Amino acid sequence: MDILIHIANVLLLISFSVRSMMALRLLNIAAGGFFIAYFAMIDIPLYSSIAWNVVFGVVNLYRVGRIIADRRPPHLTAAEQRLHHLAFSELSPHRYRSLLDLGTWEDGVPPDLVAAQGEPGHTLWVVAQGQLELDLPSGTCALRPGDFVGDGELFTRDPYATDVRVVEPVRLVRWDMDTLRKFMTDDGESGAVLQRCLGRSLVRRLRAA
Amino acid sequence: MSEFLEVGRAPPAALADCPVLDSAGDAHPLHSLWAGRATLVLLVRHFGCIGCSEHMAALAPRLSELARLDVRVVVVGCGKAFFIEGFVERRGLVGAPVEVFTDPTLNAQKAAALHTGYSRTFGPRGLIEMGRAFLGGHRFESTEGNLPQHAGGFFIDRGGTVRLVHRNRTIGDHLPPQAILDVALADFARTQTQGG
Repeated sequence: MDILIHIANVLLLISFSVRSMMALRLLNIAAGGFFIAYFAMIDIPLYSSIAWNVVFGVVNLYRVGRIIADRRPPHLTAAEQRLHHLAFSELSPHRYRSLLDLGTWEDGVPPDLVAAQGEPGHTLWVVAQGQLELDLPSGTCALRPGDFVGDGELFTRDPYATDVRVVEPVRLVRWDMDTLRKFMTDDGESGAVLQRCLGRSLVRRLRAA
Repeated sequence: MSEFLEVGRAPPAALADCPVLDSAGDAHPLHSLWAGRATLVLLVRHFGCIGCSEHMAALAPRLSELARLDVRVVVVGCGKAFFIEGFVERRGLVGAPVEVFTDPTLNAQKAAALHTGYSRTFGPRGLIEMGRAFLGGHRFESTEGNLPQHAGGFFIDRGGTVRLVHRNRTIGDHLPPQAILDVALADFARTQTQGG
């Protein structure tokens, strides 16, 4: 019967050397099972030890459940999934969900003005559906789904360089630039990916111009 | 064309001519989906398969790279056509550069000589892989297709030659995304150097 306590302690020992929280907790649960079996099978069962191991097991099971739940793909509506693939395909679905939760969806119809030249740049938009237009020295430039408004201003902190008009009904997601900058600073990896997405949009627009 | 799906040859006629259904139930011969373009064809198990959920999640971040390499990505399931829409939404593929079809007759899967059998799903290795997928946040969905059918995939280059074939031996034995990117890049480079 002593073998049970040896197995339990070996599992515990292994659990100390793993990096994954999931593996650590699973090994602890398994070790707890062997401890419980040992304490239940000795001549005078140690019910207090059994009870404590049950408590540890329940806590570990709960935490394993939370880890699995966190790993589940986040819920994204069809419109959100479409925008993910258009503009943020390099962001993981979980990080994209976090980013979306910081923004708000809004609609626009012609002749609404999304951004006005000279106004302080406090907001960044991404086009989810429809079309916008902005004036450039070389002519007008169309902004289509996946394109950003205010991407340059996010980095330069300058006022909007040009008017951006709605030319057909649009759905946009808007973010406060300070909130977005904080998101990019707090989560450096997501920030770098987001910078790439914004940079690509900027390059696309410059090429079109 | 060869009789068997293998690397370095054109896909067999029995596979190329297989009709697959889109979400509206309209049939398309498989060869029409890869004509003139490099194409990745992934034959998934039933649409609710936990292993295929894991595979699609691993592949999803690489889809934009494949699109930039002008690779068409075609997923073929084995359930009824009306399951396609739910599969696309559950897997986060709405708007993704992926087209989903199905062959409920399993003729495409047979022509590609994919493995079948419960032991490959519920054997020790299959169960461990299922556990891995579950701990990774994937769920068991309802069976939307043929349960013992196993998955696989192949890559056809712009010239119509098969460059990669994978037949899943078990539920978690997926075609590695990096292997797909490697052949896609090689095909792209070949096309560029030949001025194609």
